[in-house]
Amino acid sequence: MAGLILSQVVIGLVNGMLYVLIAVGLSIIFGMLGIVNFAHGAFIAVGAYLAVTLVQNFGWPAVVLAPVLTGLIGVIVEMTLIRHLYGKEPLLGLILTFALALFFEAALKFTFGGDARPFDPPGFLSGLIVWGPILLTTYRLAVLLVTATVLVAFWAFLRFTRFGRIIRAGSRDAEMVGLLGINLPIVFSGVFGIGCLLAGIAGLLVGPLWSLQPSMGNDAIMPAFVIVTIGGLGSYLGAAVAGLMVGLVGALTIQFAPGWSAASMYVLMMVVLLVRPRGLFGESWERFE
Amino acid sequence: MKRILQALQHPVLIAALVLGALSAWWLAIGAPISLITQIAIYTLYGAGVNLLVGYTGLVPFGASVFFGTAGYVCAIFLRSLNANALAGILVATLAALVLGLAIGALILRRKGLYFSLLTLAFSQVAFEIANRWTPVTGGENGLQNVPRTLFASDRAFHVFVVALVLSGLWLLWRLAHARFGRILQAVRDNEMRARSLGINVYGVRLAAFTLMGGIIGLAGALLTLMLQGVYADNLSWQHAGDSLLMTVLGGVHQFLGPLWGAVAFIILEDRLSALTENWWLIFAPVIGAFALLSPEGIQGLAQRLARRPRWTLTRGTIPPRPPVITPYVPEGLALAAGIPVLEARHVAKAFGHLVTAHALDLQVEPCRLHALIGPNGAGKTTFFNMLAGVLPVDGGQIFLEGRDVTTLPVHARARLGLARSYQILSIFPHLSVFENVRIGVQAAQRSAFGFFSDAHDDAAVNERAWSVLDAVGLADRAAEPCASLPHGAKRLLDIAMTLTSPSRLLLLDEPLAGLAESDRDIVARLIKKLAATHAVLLIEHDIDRVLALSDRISVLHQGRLIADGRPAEVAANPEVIAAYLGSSHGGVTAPVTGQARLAAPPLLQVSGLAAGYGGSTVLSGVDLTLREGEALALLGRNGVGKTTLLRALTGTLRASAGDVQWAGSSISGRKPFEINRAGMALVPEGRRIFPNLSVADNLALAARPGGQSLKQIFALFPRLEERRSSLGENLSGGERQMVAIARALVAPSRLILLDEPFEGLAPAVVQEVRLALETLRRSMAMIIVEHHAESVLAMVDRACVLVNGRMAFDGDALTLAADPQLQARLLGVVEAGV
Repeated sequence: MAGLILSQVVIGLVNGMLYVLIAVGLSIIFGMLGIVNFAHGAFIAVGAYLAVTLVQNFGWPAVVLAPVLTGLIGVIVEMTLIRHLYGKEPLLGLILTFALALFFEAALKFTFGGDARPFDPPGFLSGLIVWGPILLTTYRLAVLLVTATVLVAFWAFLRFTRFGRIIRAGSRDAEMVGLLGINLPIVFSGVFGIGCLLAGIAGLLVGPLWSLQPSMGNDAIMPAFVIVTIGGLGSYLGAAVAGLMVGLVGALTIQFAPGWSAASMYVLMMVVLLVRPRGLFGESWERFE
Repeated sequence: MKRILQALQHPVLIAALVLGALSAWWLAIGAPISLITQIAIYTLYGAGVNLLVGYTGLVPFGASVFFGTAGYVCAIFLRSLNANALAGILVATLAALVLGLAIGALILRRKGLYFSLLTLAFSQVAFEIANRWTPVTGGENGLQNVPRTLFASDRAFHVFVVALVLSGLWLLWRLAHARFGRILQAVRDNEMRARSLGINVYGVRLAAFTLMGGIIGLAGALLTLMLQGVYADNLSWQHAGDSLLMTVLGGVHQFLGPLWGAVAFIILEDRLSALTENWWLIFAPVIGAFALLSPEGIQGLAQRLARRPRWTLTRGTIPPRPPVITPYVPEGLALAAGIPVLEARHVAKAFGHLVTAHALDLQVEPCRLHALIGPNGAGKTTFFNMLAGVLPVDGGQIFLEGRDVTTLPVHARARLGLARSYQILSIFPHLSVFENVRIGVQAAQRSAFGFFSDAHDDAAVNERAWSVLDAVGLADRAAEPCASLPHGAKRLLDIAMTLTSPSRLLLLDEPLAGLAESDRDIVARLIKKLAATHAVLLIEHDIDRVLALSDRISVLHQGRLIADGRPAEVAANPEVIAAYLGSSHGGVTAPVTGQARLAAPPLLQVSGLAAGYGGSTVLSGVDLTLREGEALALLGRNGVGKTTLLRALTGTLRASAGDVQWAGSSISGRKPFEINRAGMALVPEGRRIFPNLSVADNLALAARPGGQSLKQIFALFPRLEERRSSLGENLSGGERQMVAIARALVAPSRLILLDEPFEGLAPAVVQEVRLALETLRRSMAMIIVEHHAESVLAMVDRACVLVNGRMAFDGDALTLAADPQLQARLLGVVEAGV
């Protein structure tokens, strides 16, 4: 029993980290552009399908291109569509990204068919690991390590690079960033692209864990929203803590009350928001209220 | 004839015709009528959603929680009791109402995105419950075989649904015009203003949310009966979006938006899915195109093509103007003689390091015009906000006619007789001029909850509204939407709304700001008249008028009251004169020696510049030339357009006329970042440093090759070196100012614009900043915006003075410094010509 629970905890941890990855992308887009990107889940699916196509045609090494291409698609979407919504009614951004999500889903269905497709992890990651009482697939462990690395790397990117500084500053006062001689329109495209790139990485990683289907992003986007809200909009640390909480609570609910795991995170969110209106680590930002 | 035409334009009749025509068409081609039944049901669903989105201004992502829950309640009730359909509908609607009340009470304290996400969370929880609680909800299979004994045939049921939906729409149309519906629209437009008129915003929103729950619940029950089954699908977030999508597609600001949205959505879905499985491939771009190109939806597009864009949430008419308008009589509440109407005792407030109120004591007597003046940043508006209840006090007490109101909310103080106007225009922008005032009158009657009879039929309220409109001279424009009014008229409207409530005390925050001279006279006379029946506390920068009008003047300076008395006494008070004109801050700096005219080439040439916000004109015909390395003081009383000029120069505000030349080429219309890269740096008012970045990161963000090195910066501001890794939010005001200046220096700037660089700083810090600016002189050009002449005249070559948006003086700094009379006339408290 203890072994089972521990294994569930590790699975919860892996899921939680993936959710964090998705939530962070959602969060930087929202923080800087003020757009709630309902299409974020669709970009996960796009990343996953791109990955499987690349693997089939060019072998595993080509897979690293999948997130990059997803990010590029994001940049194009920002430059052609999203850009026209800045400073307008927030409801319109919601409708546009909602339509985008449905469009991508239909486009994937049209191109690849609606049925679930298997996406096997590469051979060297297909084994099982037994570690004391914990039983885990090698691939899951690999996902854990890759996600952790990406999250740390992205944190360092925000913390130490010039573009990272611009993103952090711009989420608090974008106009002032422009007044310091920084080309805001390009920054906005870049931020949207980076958010989509993170979604692409998540898509690549979850492909072999969940099966590939055009609506696969839908299962991931709600947890991401929940995590962003629990952690506090715009807080990196908050997203990380909330992601792990949601992952763990979900995994443990599966253990004790299977079937109710999805509801558990919404209940968690309601409790947190009613007690702490701006989430665990959120600060008072006008744009969100 | 006219009446018949009018009746034909009734939206419910239009809805009946549209649904009737669709039904006839479907029957004629022999297609299943249930598709049209579905359109009718979703029209009602959308109308419920739009009660919140279009009328109340809240966006629920998860309104489906009511749709789905009511559907299940209806199904479970009918299956277990085998009752008739009407009972099922009734029970389901009641259940949705109760659910709406419960959820609303819990989450309506949250606003914006948090509110939207919370509704989404509720719908997701409901979805999970429906999907998993198999014994009760049937789980993933849902519930089938819901009995429908009444209206068993599809056609009979269709007629029943259409009749019910049309009645529902008719009731909603009545609601939109009743007191309650009109209050909703006021709350949507301007929550703060609604509160200050005495409207309980939370209560009104809760009622709207509950009603929405009931209407959507009714629609949900109808869908269950139509399908004779219920499924969890409708609760999932993908489908939660459908009704919102339909409403936006049709037009959220149109009463019939949900109808057009449902028709387009459901018929297109039906037709397209017959063509291809991937119909979203076609439909999603259509929706996206509407979001981008026609934000007002289908009806908005049609209106635009017909060149008659207008919101149709209510009829666009106002009650007829009476032949004779009853003259306005200020309706002051009885004032007890002798007791001060308002008393502040030791009221204190601090924002972090900045103390904006040090134990303020103030008494406002009945039937007196009491003015509160003070230089920019003195803390006047903060004090007002504490008096009105917008900001909590940090210490002290506030009494209204002897009653302690320190902890009462805004609307409760309003009901006790405190009325207020705002410094920033605060009206209901999407309502007509008449309706703006009428809402105020209605709110004063404390009867917000009329749900059925048209509020425009209340003759007493109308009469009062016309009187108030006439008093400010707006009766002729009563029918216009207020968005189309010129700025001055909006000001008048703002004041008119303050007059609607029977009040004891009027708090007027800069009622003359942005008004033309003729309007100023009208408003000033009105204020004087009001002071005969009310206690009036007035913040105003038009010092000449304040001195002429007021019975008593209190002067606030750096959060302290430095004078209180009759106008003549106050104007002669040396401390007040010093506060306005500035005593030399330590007087260390020597005046600029050798006023040799700079021979350098011109760097900045402004000609005929005009600019303003949302149609108002703040600046007009401004000319200004600045040479390389020249230091210029841009002076003027508060509110004359100094900051607006800086915004126009830096590109954050588009000039409405004129041209700006930079080193010989035009920079008009360039983006802020391009202008900054050309070498113009701004040190903004309020500093605007990034609170979540360290000092070093704040500087690194702005640094460009050719700017000063960190070493040079730290030599200039040694304090920043100690604090280089502190976050911006933990800095003191002085340190923030240093970072803001340093940020301009780390890039190669040829001109640095400083907006009120000494505001809110302690004297020692002021001195430090002054010395730093002194060091920078000649290495770059400088424009220092100030309202204190004396604090900067010693540091600059030239001075310009703006008066009411025009350049009133442009010359040697020494000339101005040597002429106290000129200073007093352009900047001071003394009346013109004295």
